[in-house]
Amino acid sequence: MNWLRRLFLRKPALTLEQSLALAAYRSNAPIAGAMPLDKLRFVVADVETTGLNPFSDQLISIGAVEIVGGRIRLDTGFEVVFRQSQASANANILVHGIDGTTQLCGMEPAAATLQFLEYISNAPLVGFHSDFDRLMIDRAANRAIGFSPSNPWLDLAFLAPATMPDPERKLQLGFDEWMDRLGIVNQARHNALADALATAQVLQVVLASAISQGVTTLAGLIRLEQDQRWLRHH
Amino acid sequence: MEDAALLFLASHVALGYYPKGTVILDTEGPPPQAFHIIQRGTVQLLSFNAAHSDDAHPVHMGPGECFSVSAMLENRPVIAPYTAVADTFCYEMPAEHFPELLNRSPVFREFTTEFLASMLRESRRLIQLNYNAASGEQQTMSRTLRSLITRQPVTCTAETPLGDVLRTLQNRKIGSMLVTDGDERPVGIFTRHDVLDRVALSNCDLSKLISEVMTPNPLTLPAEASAYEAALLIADRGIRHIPVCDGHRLIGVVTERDLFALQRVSVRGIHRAIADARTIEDLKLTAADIHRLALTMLGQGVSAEHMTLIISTLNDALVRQVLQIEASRFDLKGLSWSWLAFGSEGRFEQTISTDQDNGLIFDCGSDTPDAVRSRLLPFAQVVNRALDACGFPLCKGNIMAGNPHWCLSVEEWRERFDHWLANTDPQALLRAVIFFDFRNLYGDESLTDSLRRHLSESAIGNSRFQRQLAQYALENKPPLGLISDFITEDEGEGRGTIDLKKAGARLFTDAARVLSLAAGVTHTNTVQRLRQAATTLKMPAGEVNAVVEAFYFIQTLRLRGQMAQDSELKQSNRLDPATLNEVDRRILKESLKQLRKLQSRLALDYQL
Repeated sequence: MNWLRRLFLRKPALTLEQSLALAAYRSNAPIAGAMPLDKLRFVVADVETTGLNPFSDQLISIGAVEIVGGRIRLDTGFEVVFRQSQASANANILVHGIDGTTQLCGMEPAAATLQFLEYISNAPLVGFHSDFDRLMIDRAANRAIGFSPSNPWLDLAFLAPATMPDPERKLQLGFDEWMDRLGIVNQARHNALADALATAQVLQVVLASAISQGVTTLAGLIRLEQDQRWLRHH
Repeated sequence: MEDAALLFLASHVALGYYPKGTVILDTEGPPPQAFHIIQRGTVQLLSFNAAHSDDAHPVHMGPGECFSVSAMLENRPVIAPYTAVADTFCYEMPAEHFPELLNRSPVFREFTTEFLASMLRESRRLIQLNYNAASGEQQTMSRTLRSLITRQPVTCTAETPLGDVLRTLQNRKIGSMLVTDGDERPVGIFTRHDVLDRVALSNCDLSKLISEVMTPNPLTLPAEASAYEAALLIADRGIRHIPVCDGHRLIGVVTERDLFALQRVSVRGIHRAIADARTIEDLKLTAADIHRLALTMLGQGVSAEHMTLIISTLNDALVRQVLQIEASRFDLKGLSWSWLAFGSEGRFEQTISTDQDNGLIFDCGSDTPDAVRSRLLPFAQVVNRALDACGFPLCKGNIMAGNPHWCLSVEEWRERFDHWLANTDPQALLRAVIFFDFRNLYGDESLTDSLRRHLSESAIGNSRFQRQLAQYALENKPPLGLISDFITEDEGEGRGTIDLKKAGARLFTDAARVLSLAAGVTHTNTVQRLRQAATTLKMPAGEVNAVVEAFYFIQTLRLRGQMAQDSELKQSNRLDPATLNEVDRRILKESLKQLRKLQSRLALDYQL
């Protein structure tokens, strides 16, 4: 009966202030598909986790930067470490460099989730292989506050090849390969914020290419991403 | 580039992208709206002549280079177009911030893209660095004595006749003569003030050797000591000149005038006035001087660390003088007693408006405690009233030596302490919080020492009590919000403000108390507690330093507030964050985050 209880009774208790923060997030109007790309606010997010299994591993940190009017805002970067009940394994710590104490002293998950929601507001979220980021964030958010963000996600792993076809017809470039190809320097690979910043630069290039190819609205960009997904899977 | 200027730059730029072939700035367009720094890529500039001739030699600019300064400053379009000839990323700072950056850093053009991007990631750390740097520059009081010395010391040998020395003092218009040996080691000092006592009044023979009238073996400080150490020595010893040595070699003299050239009221002046005071009336005046001195120092940017120390030192002297004056009017012969300070005074953390929190401890010898108490109480009550008159308001909770509850024998104090340690009721805990920050202010120090030892030994093994104390320390959280930066009070007089004491400084103090009792640290000062406990509890030094800086910043804000709203004492710990400038707001936020981290650590240690 445990799963039943989890399903029906486990509604995380939020403080009044936290409920207000959640209500503020939920009252944001969804973004219109007709919004022109060069006016939009995007939030580029990246996560660090205890491992690569989205169903059993834990979210450790989220890093994010915003792109407003085609420009990456460097003064408003977002970074939060979720408090862990136990520190992750040493091998994992070596990947992202978030040590055990920092993990244990991180922010209480509900507060961290709400801070993230406040930051993203109604902006479309962008990542590279973003299905993973999305799953990790949704699962952590559901556990912490019983709610996960409803923002649309865009995956650069599909958008980058869609807007910048590879001359060698090599379909699937990884993140590091795209960085190489675009000459983007990452200051600290596997730091959530630094990765988000690098990813944001990929998005800038993608946006400029998309616009030059006549894709000028959010709806157009979403369609382009979905077409590429379809291509990849068929 | 300077940390402060970099931080400014990093917090005012955006990163823009220009695909190959884009004209970034055009001759036809509006004046540049932003200052561009190339992060990656290449930008081509056709010089004016080149643009109009065939043998054009375009200028190429790469990462780290920036444009277009002159057009932006003159608010005109560029003379020649700037074109991205490769896919290019540029950091862009809106033109309105440009003059500010020029102001802040003359070398900003040298900076490279690498630094900027890494700054973003480390902005949190840098804000702290910036804070350190900024407060370091302002802190005249933390300058080394070496930097204060402006001229060679005037010296003579021990065999110089007194008459020659007096002539030199007069001719060169100096305040003191240093007597050195063959190795330039200072062996004595003779000042203008000594002339009156030792020469004029005693009708001394001018052919005497200086070695017979000088002050031998003067107190010296090393060249790397800070100005505030000198200020404390001046206050503590009542001296006016401090010889400064590099190794054993004399390199100069620092005087009270050097240290407080700009201050109307000097530390030593106040100290001497206190020492010379014979009545409570005299002391009232010096109490006002302490206040004025604090004001001046705050104006000069002296940090909270040094200020609270200096204020505490002077207040100590004042209280001791009150005790000395009043003790002489009572028959306390044969009694061994010590005046205790509690609360902020006990922690050496007095700000300007501080209630008195004090008590007495005595050794009853062969008498009963009640008999001794009845002799001490009238004296203590007079002292409480005198302190009130000197600007230390009576304690609302009646924690004062004149209250029979807090005028106790060593054994009685121990019983109280044991009771508070053993009991779980909130009242006992509250008492413990106030009274465990005690120290000796005047009288027989061995009494307080034995009480301190007793407390330290009983508390270190009492994990239940520590846990309870930790729980108490975590009851209030730093006022950091989710929606807005800060959580402010939403009703009453303090609406829209943060209580810097209750929701700030006190939380540091409470946490430090737990850590110190757990680590067996006997010091009562919050910063000393943190530093010493950190060594025992193996907290990383960087972590402790960040907490200490955060605590001092909040204390500085408190002092600033107290000075500004002098007349409304009850509001004095309140701060409306909206009135802070951007930098201070961010530092305050960062400081409160440090507090949150400290609390998390405590919660982790005690599984709360």
